[in-house]
Amino acid sequence: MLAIAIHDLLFKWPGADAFSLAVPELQIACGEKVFLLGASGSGKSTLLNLIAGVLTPQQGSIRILDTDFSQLSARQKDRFRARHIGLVFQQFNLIPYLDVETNIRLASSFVGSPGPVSTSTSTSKSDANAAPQRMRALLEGLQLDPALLKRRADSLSVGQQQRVAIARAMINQPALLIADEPTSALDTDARDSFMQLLLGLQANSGTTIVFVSHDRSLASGFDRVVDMRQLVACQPLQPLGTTHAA
Amino acid sequence: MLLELAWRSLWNRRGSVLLTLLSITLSVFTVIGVEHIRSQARESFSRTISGVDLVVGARTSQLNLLLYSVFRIGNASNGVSWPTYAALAADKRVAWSIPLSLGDSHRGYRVLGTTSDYFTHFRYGAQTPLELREGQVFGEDNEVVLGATVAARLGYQLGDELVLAHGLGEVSFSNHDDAPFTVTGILAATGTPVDQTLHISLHSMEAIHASLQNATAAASAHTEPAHTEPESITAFLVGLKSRAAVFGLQREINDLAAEPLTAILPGVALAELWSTMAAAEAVLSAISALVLLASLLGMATLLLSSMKERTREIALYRAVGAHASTILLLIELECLLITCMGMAAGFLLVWAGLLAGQDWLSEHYGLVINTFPLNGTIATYLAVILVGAVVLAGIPAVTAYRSSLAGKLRLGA
Repeated sequence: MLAIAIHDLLFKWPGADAFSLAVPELQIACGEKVFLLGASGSGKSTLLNLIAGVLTPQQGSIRILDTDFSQLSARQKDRFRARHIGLVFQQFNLIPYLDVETNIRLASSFVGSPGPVSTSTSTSKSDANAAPQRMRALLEGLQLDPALLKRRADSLSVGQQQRVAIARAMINQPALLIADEPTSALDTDARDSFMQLLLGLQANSGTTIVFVSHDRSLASGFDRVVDMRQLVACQPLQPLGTTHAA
Repeated sequence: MLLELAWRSLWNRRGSVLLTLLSITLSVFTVIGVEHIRSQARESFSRTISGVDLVVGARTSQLNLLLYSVFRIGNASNGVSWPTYAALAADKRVAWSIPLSLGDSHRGYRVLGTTSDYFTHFRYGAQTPLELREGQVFGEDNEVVLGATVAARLGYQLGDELVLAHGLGEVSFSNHDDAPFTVTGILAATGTPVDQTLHISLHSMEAIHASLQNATAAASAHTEPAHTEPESITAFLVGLKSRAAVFGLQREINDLAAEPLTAILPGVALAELWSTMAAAEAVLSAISALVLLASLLGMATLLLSSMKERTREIALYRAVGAHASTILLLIELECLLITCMGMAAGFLLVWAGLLAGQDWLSEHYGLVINTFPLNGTIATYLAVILVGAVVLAGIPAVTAYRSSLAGKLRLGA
């Protein structure tokens, strides 16, 4: 089964001269660790929003975990995202005034009842009893002191916050983890330990990872590097003179 | 979970939320307070007197006469001479009459000079007669029957002696020290100005004034004997044998050549009072409604202006799987939390205020009120406030909904 299967995708932001994104083909297998290389403005943010089901393409198909997004309502996509996709961003991953535990629990609170979406990797919510254990295991794996759980999120260091963000993204045992420049706000030491912990966690869970960064030096632990420029090489709607072929 | 999130989000912005809460509390306080006092005033006034066909006093407006004779608010500018009263009381259409002589006070409570007919014929509420809780009606001079509040407040019991003063103030400069009164009876509570009144006989009333004159003008050769008929009374209440005669007698009294008098029908005078107050009530209600609207708009403004700084927060909720409608619900919930707290606080404030102020109201205005400020109208108002809050909260909520539907998940820089 493919974690991500994109075919002939076309998305255009509203407005005549607005940015558009075309992805002819992208396939990522389950359990694969993919490093998506792209500078800012390359359309990677738009692509991630499409994969997360927040944006809807004008053309083409997106299948995530064998589920065709065009078949899902907006609400079903939200629930699908809550259950199967973990997201980690560059910064501001946590609600600042909530404590760490509530921030992590947020992810599980929107999973809701099992809808029409079902895949073989689906984590059912019947294992609610296992959640505290899972949280503890996650914290341990991320080298976070359990005492931090009761602290307000904004009292943590940025490095700690990013690690809590991983815990939040992984708490529902998603099949797909998308990390968008998660290390860009970290210093070198924190960045290295972050990468180590992330990849270590992946080794245990087998989660598919799409790691987006402009920094090629981080790509070492990944199975495959996908360059945004190659991915979107063919852009029929791109206005003349703006194409920068690799 | 959502409720917890709403609560923590509000707590995080407690400074501005508290101010909004305060403004809602105060406006709810105003709305409930105005409405409750209004309805209670009507009820209290309406039950003060019943079964009286005419109230007669010196020539004045019917409202003024009603206020000073029945509600003990304000003072009579003039009295009714005793012969005129005697003549009218003897009219064959009159079944009974009660003379009222006001003007003295005892430690802030009004002293009423009257006859024992007062206890026989006076009615309040639903034709309820006065009832003595203990003791008996005054008989001889220097005996006093206390209203329930007077007895309770001043701690008087049967057989106690007290001294009556001339004038109305709490402290009087001319205490009638030489004329102590004995408590012979205490009335059961009525919830009307009767509770705040000390009742003595007309004779006693004359006697204390006569003795006052004796004391202060010792040189004067002119001394009046005690047990005299009073020269005049303040007003009197009339019950007729047949109500059909009421308008005829009223006209006759109003046209009386001997003395300029005013006779009023209490019900008609009350209706005039309500219509006089209606305009003021309408203005008060309108103002309190506007104040409320302003504070609800203030709440919507607060939440709307916080939307910008909460863009990241909302995007985060979306990222972890919250639907845009969940965001809408969250904002609505925050508004409802503020509004409900404001309503509860406003309600409690009115309640506490009434509990604290009920004695003052009843002593100064003869207003006996129910201190629990809830009735059908107020419940309706509260419901309207809640609906209004939900509607106005829709402004920031829908804004958040739209932006979270259109927005990207990408956070940060």
